[in-house]
Amino acid sequence: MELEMNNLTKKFGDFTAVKQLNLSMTRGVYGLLGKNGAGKTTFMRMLCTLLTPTEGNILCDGRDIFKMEGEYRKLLGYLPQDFGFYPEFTVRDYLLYIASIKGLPPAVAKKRTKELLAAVGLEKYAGRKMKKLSGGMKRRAGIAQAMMNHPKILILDEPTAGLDPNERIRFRNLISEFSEDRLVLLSTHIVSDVEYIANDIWLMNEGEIVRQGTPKQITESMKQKVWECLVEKRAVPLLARQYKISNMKADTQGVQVRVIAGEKPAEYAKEAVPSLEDAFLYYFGEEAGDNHGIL
Amino acid sequence: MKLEEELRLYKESRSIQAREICRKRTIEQSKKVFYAEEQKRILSGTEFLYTQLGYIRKRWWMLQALLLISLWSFLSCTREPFYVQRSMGVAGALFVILLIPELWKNRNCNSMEIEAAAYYSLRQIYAARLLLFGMTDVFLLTVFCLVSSFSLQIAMAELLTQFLFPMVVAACICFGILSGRHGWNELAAIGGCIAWSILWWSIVINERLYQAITMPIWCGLFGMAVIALCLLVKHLLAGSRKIWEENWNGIGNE
Repeated sequence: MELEMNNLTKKFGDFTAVKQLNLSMTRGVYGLLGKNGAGKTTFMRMLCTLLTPTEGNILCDGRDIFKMEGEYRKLLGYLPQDFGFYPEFTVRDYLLYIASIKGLPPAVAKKRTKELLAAVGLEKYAGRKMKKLSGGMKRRAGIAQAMMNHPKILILDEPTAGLDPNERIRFRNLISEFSEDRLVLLSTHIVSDVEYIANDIWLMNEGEIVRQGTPKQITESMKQKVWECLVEKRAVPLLARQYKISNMKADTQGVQVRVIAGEKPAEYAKEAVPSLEDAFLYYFGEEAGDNHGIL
Repeated sequence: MKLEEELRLYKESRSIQAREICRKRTIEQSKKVFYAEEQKRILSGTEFLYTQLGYIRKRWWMLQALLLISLWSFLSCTREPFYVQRSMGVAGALFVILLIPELWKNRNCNSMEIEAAAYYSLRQIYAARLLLFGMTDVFLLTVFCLVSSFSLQIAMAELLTQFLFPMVVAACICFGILSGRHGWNELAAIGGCIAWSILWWSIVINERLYQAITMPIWCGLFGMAVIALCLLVKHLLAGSRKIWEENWNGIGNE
């Protein structure tokens, strides 16, 4: 299974949301990181055939996905950022409804629904109406519906929104398990969601992929860009105006700041071990000189 | 006799009792084979239509039937042409208004994105629902027209001009709004149908204007309304693929 994007572009009038993407995806987890307005959702909607590209194409094993129609959608599982459901449905009814529109015969739908309810921890709530579920439970039901048809391609747009840390860990494990012989594309603002499970990470900004690589490659690219230093409290605003600060920790001797900068911010600054979050902030954090330089 | 007796005794001595464990194993194996075969196939179009029937809330059909029964009861109580004209036109618009909640359901519930990415996509879901509504409503209307025609001696021509024509125009308004690019909500559709109902009312009240329109013109207008309705339904189905292209949260979700 290979998805190939060739010069993929999407314009809405004069605005270009996705610019000339040339990417290839096979099995494994791909993390798509970017701030709001980067083009992630537009890109994912094109992968799900909800939007047609203005230029370029998307090929699945060499075939245009927009010409494959139902044959491609049969392979797809999709959880949008803002997903809805018919409120009068119970959790079980909802999953059975999704199974029907995904073309699963009734016997298979019932068995699969039972399996997924157990996998996402909603067995006890199967008879509860969807509108009565908490935010995290709704999100779990959403993940379950995305997996209903054993998809070969799973597209998840901000899937962990509203989940508490325990649920996020559970979700991560579920995705890891699921991705063994599948292709998973996961977009998120939460770096830790992809840091430990993604084989490849794409950093997207203003419609373009600004950086891509394994988590290790991306953090290594941040060498000599992450610094730690202890400064006086009154020096912090000046530092914030000049550089991006990812973390501040006050202690008795001053404020320990973690700075993202191309050059050493102060003589006494020490190079720190970079993390994926530092890379995210380096590419997507506020520009130096802004009032919001402290991230 | 002796032979029969011997056969009976032999049969009893050779009776086979299936072992429970083997029976269970056979059942489990059969289930596995059945699921394996079922997993290979996709739900057929007819099965999909049947499942969609299960998900449509029947209360709206019941209300439509109740509306027609109430209209028939009202018409049977009054024989004044004036009341016949007014009530049938209003009932026609109301009949269409009762469709609106189900047609707007997936839009209101924000479930369209998941539906559009499914094997049976949004277009097919709409087509299935419209087909089911169409079949049921045609049936209800046919029964109503036949019963009214025979029991109340109301001419078919009168039913066409007083009931079916305003109803089809209201349906055009409803589908026109649903398939529009602006993503207007169901209140706009309800408002449009009510506005049409008022306009129709004012036409029907004006006896001179009403009488000036002859039957061939009514038939022509009805025909045009039906064609417009078909085109709007076609536009709705074609447009279901382009919902996210421009104004429907085009880039607003970023």
